[in-house]
Amino acid sequence: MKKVLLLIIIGCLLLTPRLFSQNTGYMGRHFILKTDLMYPLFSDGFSGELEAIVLRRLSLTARYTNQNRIKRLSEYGSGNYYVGYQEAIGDWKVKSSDILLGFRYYLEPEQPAPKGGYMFFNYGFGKADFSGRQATGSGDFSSSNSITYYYDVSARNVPVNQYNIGFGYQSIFFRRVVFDFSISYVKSWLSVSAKYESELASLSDSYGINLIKVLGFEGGNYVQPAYGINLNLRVGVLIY
Amino acid sequence: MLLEKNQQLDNHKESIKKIVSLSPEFSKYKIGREELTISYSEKFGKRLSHNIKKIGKKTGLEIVIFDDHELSAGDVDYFNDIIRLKNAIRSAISLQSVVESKQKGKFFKRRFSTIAKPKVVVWEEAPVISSEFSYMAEKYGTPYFSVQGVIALKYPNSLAISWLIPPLGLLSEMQNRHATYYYNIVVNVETTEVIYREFRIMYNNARQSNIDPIIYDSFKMLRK
Amino acid sequence: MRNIFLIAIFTLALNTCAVTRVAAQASDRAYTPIIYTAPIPGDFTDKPADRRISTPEKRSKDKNMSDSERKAFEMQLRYSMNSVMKSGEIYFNDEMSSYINEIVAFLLKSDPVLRDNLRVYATRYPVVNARSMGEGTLLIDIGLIARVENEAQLAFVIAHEIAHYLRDHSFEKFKKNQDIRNDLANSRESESELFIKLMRHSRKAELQADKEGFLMMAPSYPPHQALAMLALLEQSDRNHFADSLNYLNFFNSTDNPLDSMYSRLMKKSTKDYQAIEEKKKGKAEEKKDKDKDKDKDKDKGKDNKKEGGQENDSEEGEDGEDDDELETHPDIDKRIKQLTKEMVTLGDTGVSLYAISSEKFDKIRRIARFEHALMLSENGAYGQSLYESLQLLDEEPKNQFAAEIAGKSLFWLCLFNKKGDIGEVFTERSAVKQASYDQLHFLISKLKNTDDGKELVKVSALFLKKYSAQFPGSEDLLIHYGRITGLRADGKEESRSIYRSYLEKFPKGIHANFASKQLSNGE
Repeated sequence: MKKVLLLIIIGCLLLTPRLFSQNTGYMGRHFILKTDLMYPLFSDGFSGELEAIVLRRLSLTARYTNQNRIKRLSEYGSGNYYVGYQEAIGDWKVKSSDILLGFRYYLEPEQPAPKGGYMFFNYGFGKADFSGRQATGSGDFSSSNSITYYYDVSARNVPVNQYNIGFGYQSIFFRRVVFDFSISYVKSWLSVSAKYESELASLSDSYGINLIKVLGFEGGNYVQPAYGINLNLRVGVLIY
Repeated sequence: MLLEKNQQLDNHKESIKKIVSLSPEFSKYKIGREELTISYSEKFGKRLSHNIKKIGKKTGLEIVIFDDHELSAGDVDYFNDIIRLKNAIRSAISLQSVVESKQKGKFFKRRFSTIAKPKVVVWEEAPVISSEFSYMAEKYGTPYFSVQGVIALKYPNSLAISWLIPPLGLLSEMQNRHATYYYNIVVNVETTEVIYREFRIMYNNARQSNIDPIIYDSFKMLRK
Repeated sequence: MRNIFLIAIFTLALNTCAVTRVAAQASDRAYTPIIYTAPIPGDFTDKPADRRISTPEKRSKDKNMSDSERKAFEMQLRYSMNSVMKSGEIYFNDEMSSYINEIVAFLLKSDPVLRDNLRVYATRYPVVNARSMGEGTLLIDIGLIARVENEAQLAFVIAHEIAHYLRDHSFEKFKKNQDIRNDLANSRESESELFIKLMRHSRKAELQADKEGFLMMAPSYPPHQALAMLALLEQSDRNHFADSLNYLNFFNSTDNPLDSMYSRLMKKSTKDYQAIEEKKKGKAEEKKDKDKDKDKDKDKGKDNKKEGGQENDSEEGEDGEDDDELETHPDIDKRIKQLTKEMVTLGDTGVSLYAISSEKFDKIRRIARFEHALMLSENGAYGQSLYESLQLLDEEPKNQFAAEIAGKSLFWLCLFNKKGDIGEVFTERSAVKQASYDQLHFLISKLKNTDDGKELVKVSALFLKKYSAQFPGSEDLLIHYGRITGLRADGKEESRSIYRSYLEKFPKGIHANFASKQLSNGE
């Protein structure tokens, strides 16, 4: 992951002399370092992004995110469950880190990037660790004869992928301070081995979404992609 | 955005290092339901002049500004030269049409702002002014003189309903209540031609942080 | 021997005087345009916050005016005056403004305080107008100075503007505008009704200024000149020049073997023009008769209305008609009627037309006429500037400046014609309703439409060649001769040789950089 990040930074720096002759950036500055406020606020995490203005209305973004989330699942109510079905009790801990690479197309011809409204696309890849407690039992759970067994589940280095597509608006104040607001449609999915499919089924359809889940499948015992709307609010600084 | 250049400038045969800016203007208006009111303040104009000079230096252009903020009893050149030339340029721009150059193989460049470059219209025949101003090239040390300014409009937000959808409402609040116009016309008094003309509309308020990058971009485009 | 020697010396001295007098006469008819000189008065350099505001007594005593209203009005005055005075359109340190101030001092000799409160300047606007700005500045346009017939008429205009200042009409108009905005916002009346109200208020103010200005001017000047001035305003779309000009005198040259063709073209054009004018006259007579019948019917209808007992607005006029309800100024007839009533009480005062000096007036008016032609050409009204400069050249054939304006105007007309924009700068019957102007328009139209505009270029080049030879010291004529020759497809080499001869004659001339650039670009 670190190697990828380093490659991205070097690539941007190498591109600078060739591409900046055609675009002026913001007062001659072409790089912005940003952090997303949604991560520390809603998940104990961190997000850092580097945006490089490569063309007059196009910029490339590279974002690294790291988050520790507690995913609370509701307990299932009483009902007739048969031996063999599993259910989760309590909280899942999700620890993940992703890299998202993307581009932005700025909409206003009058003012060159990085100011103004934009449309963007990001593709992300990363790894996530899931750990939580599951319960299983024999017999009918509703009957007093049933026996419940609890066990810990830990799925490590689960590959996660996502893409975002949306639009936003970036403002610059005091010549250096950047505020960036965006709203996007997200699809994210886990590449899980069959061993953990049923355990992670209830998590997969909301992974990576911070605002609204658009399509959700309640129940089911297989991992499905998550579809939703994300909101991001970033603060940054214009550098070189 | 409209960006026009004459042939010589587009072919980089004309290189600009110093420009005399003829009294840059900053006008601010508020459009109400039934009236147009003018906002009065000296500071906008002074700040604009100051920033144009600073930004010019950043882009490698020496900008000399003659404006009316600090006129003294001996500044007759302002009335005899500067204002006369400014009025002549304005008259030429308003009365004369231009002939666009028929460039081969530059279909998109002439018609669309692309992701990499703005739309640039190249003139074959530019508006011209009188040759009686050509002495000013020697007097002021450069044949390039510009008329530039900012017009700031504030008008009622017609997308109030978008507040029902908060993110859109926030966007419309940022975008639709202001319009700022920037214009820049550069003339070469030796050839008597208008060599560059630019007009931009931004739907932002006329804060310095919004205007400065436009001026920076304008000066950079002028020299490309 | 000694006596012969003395006689010879005396004769030589006499001849020298004669030569000097002739030379003086020739140079007397030259004209140098006004340039601004230092020191610049404070009115042109002050910042808005420092600007002097002379509040008329009426406003300072008005207890109904709130502080916020006063501040808002003064702020508006400061900034609008700032842009007007620094626009480069107002003369200062010039003879016209000095002369006008002498008239003001004479009119207000019994009120030195008021005199000190006023600052009066001539402006470069080529229109027949004057204005009072509301803070003590009065502006008189060169179009008006060029048009007046004597000092008394100018004095009436100045007195009219002083009356506007004393009555504080600027502030009244400001207040009225605000009231109208409030009424519009509260939808009490429709927009058109409110506009008519505003115009009515404006006309009342004009009538009041007429009356008070007349009473101010009448003791010092012949009162009937006020009426003459109003009649002149009605004809402000005409000028003082004779309505006949033989354009063939200018556009003929014996240098060119093709001249006879041009003069034939001109003669034919003149005949065609006259034929068209005769036709138009006939149609105009027909229309006049039709309109007379219409008016008769209208009067009948109005009489019926009066009998019906409807109210008349006696403030507007005797018969209450509001033909000018959308105008800021009343009909001239109403204005004349009002002053005629006042004149009856005054009678003939027996004072002179000129309190300052008739020679000075003639000099100032001549300056205004030349500046007027210059301003028309600087504002892009090349048709009008050509017309006026040819009239001036006809009056003063040795006047280099008039020839220069005409030559420049011809060059610009050719250039605009080449670009297809000549309609922007030469319109038919625009601001000058005179037959000789129409004739010029007709001639130029014929030329520009012949051989794709090449005839216009040829004729203009001949004019410039003729007059640059007649006035060898004129930079403008020579350079524009070069520029107009360059407009011809086959004229590049010839124009380059003209630029070379310009540089030889005027190496430090105002067009020298241009000429050098043209030569270096061509190489």
